[in-house]
Amino acid sequence: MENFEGFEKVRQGAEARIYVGKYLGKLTLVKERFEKKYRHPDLDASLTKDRIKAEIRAIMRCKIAGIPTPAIYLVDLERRSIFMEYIKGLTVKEYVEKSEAEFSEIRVDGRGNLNNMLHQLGLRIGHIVARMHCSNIIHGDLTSSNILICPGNCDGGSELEEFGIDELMVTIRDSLCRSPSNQDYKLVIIDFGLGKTDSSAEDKGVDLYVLERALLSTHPKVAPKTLFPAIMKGYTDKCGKSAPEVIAKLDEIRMRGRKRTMVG
Amino acid sequence: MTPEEFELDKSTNSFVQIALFRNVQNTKELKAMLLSGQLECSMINPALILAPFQIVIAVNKAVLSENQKKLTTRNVFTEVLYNLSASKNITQSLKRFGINEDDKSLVVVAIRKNEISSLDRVLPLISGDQCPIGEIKSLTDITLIQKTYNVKDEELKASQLLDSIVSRISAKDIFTFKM
Ligand SMILES: Nc1ncnc2c1ncn2[C@@H]1O[C@H](COP(=O)(O)OP(=O)(O)O)[C@@H](O)[C@H]1O
Ligand SMILES: [Mg+2]
Repeated sequence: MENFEGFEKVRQGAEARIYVGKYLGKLTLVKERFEKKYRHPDLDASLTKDRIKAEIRAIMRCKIAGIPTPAIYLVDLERRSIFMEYIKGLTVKEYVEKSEAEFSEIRVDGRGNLNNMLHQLGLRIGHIVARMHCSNIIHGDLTSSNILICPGNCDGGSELEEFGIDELMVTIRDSLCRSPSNQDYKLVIIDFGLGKTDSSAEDKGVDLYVLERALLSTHPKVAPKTLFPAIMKGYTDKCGKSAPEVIAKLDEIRMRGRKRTMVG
Repeated sequence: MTPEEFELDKSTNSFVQIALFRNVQNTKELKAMLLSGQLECSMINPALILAPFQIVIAVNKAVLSENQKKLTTRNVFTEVLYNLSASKNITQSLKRFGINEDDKSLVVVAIRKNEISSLDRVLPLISGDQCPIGEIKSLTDITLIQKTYNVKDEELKASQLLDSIVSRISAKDIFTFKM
């Protein structure tokens, strides 16, 4: 913490602390991969460096392929940290949870219901995962917390207070309900620490399987019938020829998973 | 005219100062002084600068590398030129982002730590017109920038050019960019 004057700690995960603050004039998020005391210090340092490097490589590979990722402001291996653009938006997890809560109270006008809206969202997530896989990028930890959703014009500005969550919800929902190919919002992919930049159909299948498991447990009400099927449709539509092989792998991996749970 | 100043990483206690000059008459002389180490600053070709933030990112990285004793080039000022480039080729980076003898405009970059800055000694040596840094836009060559950083249109569908550039500057030690 003493290393990040001017930043505020907002979160501590299993691997990293997250700080937000103004850096070089921009609203910036610092992801610090802290020391794990139970590991040998040398091993710990080299694992951490590998994770940071993997994360940067995947972020850059995505960016070059036209897949939105945060801008990188500094990579500081000594401070075990990545300084990156703070995306003013919500995680897909937050967005889906809030939507579920809101739609259970009111029907948000005649243009769409919750399922419709989540279908559109799922298609877009499927498209983006397909584009990553087409560029042979494996995310490694696809969950609804590792995809951010923000208004299309979310660039610029340097203050955290300028926007409210409720306003964001309305803007994003409106554009999701309006039309399927709408560009008024965007999805930004984060958390590539387990990312890989060469890949097989098996790796892609595992990537989808991880996403499916995560969604089913995080969003049990909407994932099975709406969100995940839409993702697979979006994925298949965009992936073209290579989709069947990956989906066959996904089925295989599901079977293995099921057998494992049956055996205990 | 006072130069633009931006705060760098707080741990460095440093600020970067940026000044833009046009109609420079003695570029050849300035370049010779730079090469012989008489000027404590970087002089940059403005055609390759999209916005001051690009310089701030490169200088911040250079000052941190200096503090961590990890400079790749001779000193912090050559490091700025090297950092600006997405390539790891030192000679080529310094040549591209530095100034040429017959350039008429240039960007001067100095570092202020506490109250000490080398800029006061450099500015009087430049025979040219100092202009607001905002005027850099009229000297920027977007096509050349896109070519130099190898940013294709596909990438610009999802990223602003400035974000693509600063990300390359930050990532170049880790990621090898096709040039
Ligand atoms: N660039 C960013 N902009 C905005 N929020 C972010 C950004 N990166 C991460 N976050 C937020 O911080 C959380 C944790 O970051 P993440 O990279 O996923 O690390 P972890 O390994 O702890 O999951 C994310 O779920 C998201 O809410
Ligand atoms: Mg995460």
